[in-house]
Amino acid sequence: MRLGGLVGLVPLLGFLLLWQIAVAVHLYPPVLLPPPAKVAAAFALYGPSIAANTLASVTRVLIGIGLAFCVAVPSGLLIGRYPALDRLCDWSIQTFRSVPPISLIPMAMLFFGIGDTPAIVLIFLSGLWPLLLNTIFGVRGIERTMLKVATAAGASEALILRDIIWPAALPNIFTGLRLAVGGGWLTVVTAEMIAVKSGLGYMILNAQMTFRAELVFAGIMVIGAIGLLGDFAVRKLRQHACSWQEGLTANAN
Amino acid sequence: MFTRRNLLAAAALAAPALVARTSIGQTLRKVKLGTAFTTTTNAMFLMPDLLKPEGIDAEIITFPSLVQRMQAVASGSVDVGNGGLSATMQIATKGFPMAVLADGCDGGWMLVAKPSITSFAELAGKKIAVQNGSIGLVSLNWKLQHEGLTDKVEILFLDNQDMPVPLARGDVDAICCFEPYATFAELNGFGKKLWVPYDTPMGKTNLGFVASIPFIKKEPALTKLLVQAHVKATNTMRDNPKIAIETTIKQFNMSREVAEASAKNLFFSADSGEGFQNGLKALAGMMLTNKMLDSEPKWDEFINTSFI
Amino acid sequence: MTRFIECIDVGKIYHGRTGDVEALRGISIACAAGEFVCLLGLSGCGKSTLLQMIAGLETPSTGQIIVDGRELNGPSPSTSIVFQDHGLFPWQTVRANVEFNMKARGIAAAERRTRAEEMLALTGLSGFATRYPHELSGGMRQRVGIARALTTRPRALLMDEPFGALDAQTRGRLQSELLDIWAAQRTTVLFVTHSIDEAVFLADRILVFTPRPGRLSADVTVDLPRPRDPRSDGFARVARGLRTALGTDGGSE
Repeated sequence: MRLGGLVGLVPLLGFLLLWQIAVAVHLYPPVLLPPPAKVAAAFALYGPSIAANTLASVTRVLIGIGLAFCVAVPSGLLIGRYPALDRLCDWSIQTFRSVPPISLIPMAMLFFGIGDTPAIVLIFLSGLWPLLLNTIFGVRGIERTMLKVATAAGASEALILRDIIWPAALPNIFTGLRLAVGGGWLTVVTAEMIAVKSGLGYMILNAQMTFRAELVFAGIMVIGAIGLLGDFAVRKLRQHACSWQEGLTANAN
Repeated sequence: MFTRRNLLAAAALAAPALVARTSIGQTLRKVKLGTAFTTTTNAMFLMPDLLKPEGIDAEIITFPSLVQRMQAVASGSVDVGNGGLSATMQIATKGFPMAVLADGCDGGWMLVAKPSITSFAELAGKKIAVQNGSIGLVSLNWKLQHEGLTDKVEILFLDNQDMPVPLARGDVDAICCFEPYATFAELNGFGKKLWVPYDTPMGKTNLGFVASIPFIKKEPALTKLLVQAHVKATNTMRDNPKIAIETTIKQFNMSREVAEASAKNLFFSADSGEGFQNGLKALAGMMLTNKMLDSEPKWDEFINTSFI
Repeated sequence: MTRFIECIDVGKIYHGRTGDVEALRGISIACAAGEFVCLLGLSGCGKSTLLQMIAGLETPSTGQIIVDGRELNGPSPSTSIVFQDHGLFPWQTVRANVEFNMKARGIAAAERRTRAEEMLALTGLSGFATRYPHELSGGMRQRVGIARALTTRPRALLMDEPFGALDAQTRGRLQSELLDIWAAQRTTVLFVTHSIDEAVFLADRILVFTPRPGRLSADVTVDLPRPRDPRSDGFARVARGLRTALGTDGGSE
């Protein structure tokens, strides 16, 4: 990482300082706002447990978002390509994507039981919509001339989808992926309210119930850090897959 | 002369007099009372009417759970009201001095298991749902230990209203659940009452009327009024099961059958004598064993029945 | 003289939300094999529409289009089209771009490779096979577009204002190169332009279109020997005549 990028740490360190000051002047009861030192101690004390919970949550998000990708991208490519399909699906998409995951918990428990399955379903749903909509958007934005060249040359639908639609939509798909990973990660705490036995959301909820604020904070910090890393990973992946885009400043997303 | 300016001037002079008159007639003191949405807290709804003649305008603030209710206490949003006694104890021992002013409601939960399970021992290797951090969990842990089943069952955390469906679906084998959801599950045939959980050292200890100690010190007269209203309300609930039944039907959308049956598992009582206080101490002991508590509360501060 | 491309009373009406637009009316033309024909007219006169219909990308509302003796029913393998904004795929190398039309026609990989090399050599792009479009200049990108169009050995090359976006010098160079390619390949060329000088420089025949609705107003044969000198009297005479036919006497070209 270039040193210039590290400047992003400055506001975070600023927050840390504010936090320490707030604790020092007893701005809030320590049972709700623990000192940074106590949170650091929690990391030391519960390190392996925090790591295990992190792995559990990350796994759920990877599975959920992976499934969302496999469903959303092919669907999005087809819906973007065929207006009749778009007309069929548009109202349903707009209706369902507006529903917040937390309101779906009782339904998820009814259809999928408790534990990992409904949790992954909720994460899947939170990632599905950004991926689907951005894929459709990417297909719609394809330069008409390229499609005309292909049609005039007698290209089959399959060839057009494979050689033109998929690569052309890829930058937008990555935008969708970035949003999906962020959204999925945001949903993980909600999703883990359905009787799971591991995970950062589970750890935080448990700590809230037992008034262990230092673990709540530790959990929140890990969640934030992983969110940052996840976003970074998607961006790197996109740079690699869409390296041809560097030349097209006009199209750069 | 009645020019516009004269009229405005006259109004300006009259204004303080008008305000003074209204404030003399209606000096209602505003108080916020915290509670949660469970059947054991039904008495709270009788309080505003009892307090109005005393010049108190009571506003009831409902929290989604008793634990969140106590978190609100810790952050200073609400000073007084109903409190789950396990959560109150946890807050009190984490540097937020609380006092239990009176008992509120005893009992109100039970273990309902799949009909195929006929004894507690058969829970070995099974899944039990319970609300995290609740009295139900405390009692369940003790019982499991007592029966030698501590590492032999799988405990899953669910909220009370979410418990009946997984039991019906078979995702869990038993639920340690609060009313009216426990009775709801039973009467719908999802399970059978397996364990009445009051044979542990803490007995039926569940809900009390609590306040932060700074509040009590600042407003002793108000505290006395509130506690006495609470005692009256609680006794009314105890003597008139119909009220609890009607409230359960209205608030929880339960059928009359469920409401009537679940009311039998609620023991409204403001009796805060030795039995109650021993129950609290036993509860502390059980929580310490479970590591749900780091240390015992200061009993002379924590229990304060002087306002009854 | 064989009629390679023939339009019989072709018309095109676009049905829009605010009413119908008649883009073309009563177009009857015939082009011989090997002829270099320019479609000349100002914007809005339907010349591009006509070209795209001949390419099989749009269907006429009235009349027939006959290519190589057969009535057109979709894109014909005998034609290839080149667009002004080239329509190259940014994610493919120059070679892959050039091979695309052949891929669409189902030609095997080995043959694709040799033909692509051939056309790259013809358009002077031999050293650029592994480059990406964004690394090339505007003129070179158009050459790639032309190379791609020629790989399927079309009997007619359709060009829709292909040099319109280039600077004067590059345009001049590409015009000469096009004439060289045409002389070597002897394909029929249908070339759409709004530039009188370009039409006079390139074409055997110039079909003049006037707008609203798009109609053929003149069919001018250009008898001047090649290479043509834009400063010669003959050139100026033809250009003058065209200016009158277009109705642009007053202004400059």
